[in-house]
Amino acid sequence: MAVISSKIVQEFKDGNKTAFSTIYEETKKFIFNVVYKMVLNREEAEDLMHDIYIKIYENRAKFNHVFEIKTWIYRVAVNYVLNHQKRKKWLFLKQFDIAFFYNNQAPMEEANEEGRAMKLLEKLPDKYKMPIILKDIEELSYERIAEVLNIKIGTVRSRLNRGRSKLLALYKRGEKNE
Amino acid sequence: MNNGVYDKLIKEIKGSNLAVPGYIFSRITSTLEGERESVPFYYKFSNLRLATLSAALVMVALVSTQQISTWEKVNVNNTYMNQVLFPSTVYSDTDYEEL
Repeated sequence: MAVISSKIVQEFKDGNKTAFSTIYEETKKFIFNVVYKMVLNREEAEDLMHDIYIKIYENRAKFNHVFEIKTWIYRVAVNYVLNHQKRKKWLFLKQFDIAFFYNNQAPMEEANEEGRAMKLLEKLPDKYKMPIILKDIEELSYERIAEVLNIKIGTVRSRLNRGRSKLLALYKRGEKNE
Repeated sequence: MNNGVYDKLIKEIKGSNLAVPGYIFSRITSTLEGERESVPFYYKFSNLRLATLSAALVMVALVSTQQISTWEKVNVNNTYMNQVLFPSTVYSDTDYEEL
């Protein structure tokens, strides 16, 4: 994973749009796929992606070099999408949303085996889902996940183990029902 | 066995990675340059469909709790609405007080 140079970071903090573009290019794939796996809807992921980068740009002065800039960006993105999910649950809209509006254009275009694995992931609570996405799918280190989620490494490990067990249990339950 | 199944699931999920659409960055820069109009209220709900649904739910809640029992109630208590909806039957201040 390429490290963004301190020169680019400083330029970004000074409001340079080219530096912002470089940072966007370096982080967009990760952010988009993490967000997509959390919301499982392409349009929603695109809207969130837009909001996240606006937030990142507008709050660039708050980046204080405690972490690497990528870690800070991942943290902003992860917090944003987790809050978004919470708001959705609070509005009790998620079920309606999926049942009434997204049936025809399916959250995932892939309604096959691949789609089934994603459906299982979707059923996990966010606190287990996020470590699985960050570790097993995006292959971040435990240390970086702990920084991104602002939790201890031990907590990352335990949530990951729990999440893996729950995912397997969901899979087995699905097999039994078939 | 479990590891095998888990690895298979993860592999399937990894396979669903999407390419990032090119227009997202244009949207971001447009917003930053103030070219796009301000973010509409429904944007907070991710998309228009969600906003429509939530508006419908609010209406149902209001009606069911009798905050709005009939449209007539709105007419009687809102002079402005009367002017808009029924220009020929504008109530005077006295009429309003009597009500």
